[in-house]
Amino acid sequence: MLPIAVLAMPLLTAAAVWLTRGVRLRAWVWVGGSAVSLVLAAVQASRVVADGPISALGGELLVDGLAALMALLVGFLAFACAVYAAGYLPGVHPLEASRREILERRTPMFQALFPVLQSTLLWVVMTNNIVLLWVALEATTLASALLVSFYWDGRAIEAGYKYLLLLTVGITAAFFGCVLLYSAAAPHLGSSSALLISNLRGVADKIPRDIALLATVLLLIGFGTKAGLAPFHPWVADAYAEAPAVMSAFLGSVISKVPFIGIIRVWQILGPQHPELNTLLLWLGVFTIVVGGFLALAQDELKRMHAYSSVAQYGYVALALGTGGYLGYYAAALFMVSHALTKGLLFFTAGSVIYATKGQRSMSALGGLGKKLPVTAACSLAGALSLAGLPPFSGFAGKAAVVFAAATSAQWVPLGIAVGMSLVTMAYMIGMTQRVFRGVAPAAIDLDTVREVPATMRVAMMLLAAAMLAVGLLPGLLDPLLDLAART
Amino acid sequence: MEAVIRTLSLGMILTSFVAVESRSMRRALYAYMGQALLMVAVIACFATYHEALALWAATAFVTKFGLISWLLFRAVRRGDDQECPPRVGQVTSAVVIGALAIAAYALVHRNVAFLAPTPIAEMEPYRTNVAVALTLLAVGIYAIVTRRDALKVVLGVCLIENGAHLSLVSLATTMHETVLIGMVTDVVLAVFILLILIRGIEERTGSRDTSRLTLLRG
Repeated sequence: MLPIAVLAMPLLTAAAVWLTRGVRLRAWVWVGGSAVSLVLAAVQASRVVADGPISALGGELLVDGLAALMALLVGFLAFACAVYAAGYLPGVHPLEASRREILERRTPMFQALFPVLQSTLLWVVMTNNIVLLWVALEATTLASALLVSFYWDGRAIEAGYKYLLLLTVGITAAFFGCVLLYSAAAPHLGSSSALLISNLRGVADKIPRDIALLATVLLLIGFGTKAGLAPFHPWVADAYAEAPAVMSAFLGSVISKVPFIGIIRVWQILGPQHPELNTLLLWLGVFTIVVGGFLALAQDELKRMHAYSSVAQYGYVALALGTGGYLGYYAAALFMVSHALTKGLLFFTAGSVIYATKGQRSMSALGGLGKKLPVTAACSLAGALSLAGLPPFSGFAGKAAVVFAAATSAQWVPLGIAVGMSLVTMAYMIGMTQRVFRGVAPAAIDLDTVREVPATMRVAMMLLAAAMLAVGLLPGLLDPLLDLAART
Repeated sequence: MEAVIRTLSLGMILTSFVAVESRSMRRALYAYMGQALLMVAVIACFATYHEALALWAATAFVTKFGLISWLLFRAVRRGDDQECPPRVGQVTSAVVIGALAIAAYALVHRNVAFLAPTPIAEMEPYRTNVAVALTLLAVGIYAIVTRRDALKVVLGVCLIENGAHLSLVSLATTMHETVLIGMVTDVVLAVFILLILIRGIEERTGSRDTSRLTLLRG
């Protein structure tokens, strides 16, 4: 019953938000519904830790350690986004009064569709059906396309169109992968049982090697496209940069993480039989780290830099998974949690800078904002340090776990590249902090008109910063869930 | 029955060619609708071997011939009937699409043991069906890459989805209908949302020409 409640609560929130009148009241209904969703996810996680996996709908939903952890993460980030949006959405694009009417008309759609998106993400996380995993992942794209193009100007519509088109076509590869896997297992399990992921591992050795490898490569292309792994990443920067900051944060934090659930599920089924798949994933991760890192270094636009930086960080997740075994899965899970908190925070701070400067997105046109935006500046610095892998933030724990997993499996060359690219991360993140918050303000912005962002936006940033600090200082905090996730 | 399925399959490849190559959007849409009906007929033929597929045929009729065609028809009626000039000429396109069909057939017939996860998929007419599905997939991707008209790109997506749907007849005959319904619902919604975005593109640029989408660098 609990998994159904976790899945249904965001849908009830969406309905309540849609039926409520007034943008501010709707915002608070959304916050309230997200809070209840978060509590349900937390109760579910504690039950899983105490009693083991929870099953529902005749095994169609299965909440194991990994699912419980990711559902909690989705719930937490969705709550933070709702709080941030309560201040952010009513005042979007403050300079463009002529377009204000269009955006005000679209705001209820955004507020109602966001919880629907949350529900589709939870479906991906908790489904135990290999084909419905694909259906749910496609549903996340469908629910998010109109949120990406919320601003409804030329750039936003172009970003939304490319986002939906590329992901719909890309994920078709995963569809064929799912179908091949099901078809190969059906003769051994029966038609209904072969759909259940929890059953597939038992017959992995009976699936012909060629079929298994073909299915896995197709699934990696599909899920990799959705996650934003290189070379399937061309949609990432456009979508992340043109979406409203609250959506960019959700994209960079959890929407990009749920495809890894698909990858982990497939690797747990077929990885033990085919160790060469680990090598493929490991080097795909290294390639992604390098491509994303250098692209981020070359950016001047704040959100585009964070977008490419996200691509690089997804590479660390793939690298950790590619090292295989318990440590690899543990490191990947911890890194996903850490990156979700960190990138969510960094997109919030980028949104706050753009909000406070009335639409300025280019770092070369920003500067000296630290004194005017002290909370945003402090949170941005914390996020930058965490992303660079420095203590006492969660990024340090996440990167240390990845390094440990790679070193234990003696993957010295990938490890060397990953550590080297961490220095690149440090360079562009510290550079961003310097350019935006220190120095002298360029002529493009009038510092006298810059004010710190509304209270709810500051609260949301501080919430994520506190969570990042908590995971960094108390790494044992999530250990029971991470341990279960790695053993799943 | 095998001969009927082969004839219908040939019709599906021809309609995919017309859907991609016709410069009139209405004619292209009629070709797509014809292909949807042919697909329903193919699945109905397979239902004589496997009864459960009759429901799949009904699902394809409602979603592909009904809902998707209706959505596309509304979009075509609203805009210009003439397609924006494509990146590749008609003769070259005919050669490429013909080559894609031959390559798909050769690939499936030579490597059927590798591509087909079940013994039944290696036999006729299931093997031919996999080849047709692969051809539709390839033609759909070709349309997305070479067409500048956003509505043609959506037709390309629809061809890919038809290929995916058809492949299930050979690869996953025993799959539960609820999974299939989830799948086709995703497709209908994808087309619906793409058309909303294309309307936005038309409002902003006065055209469905995707080569004008140059504000972002990817």
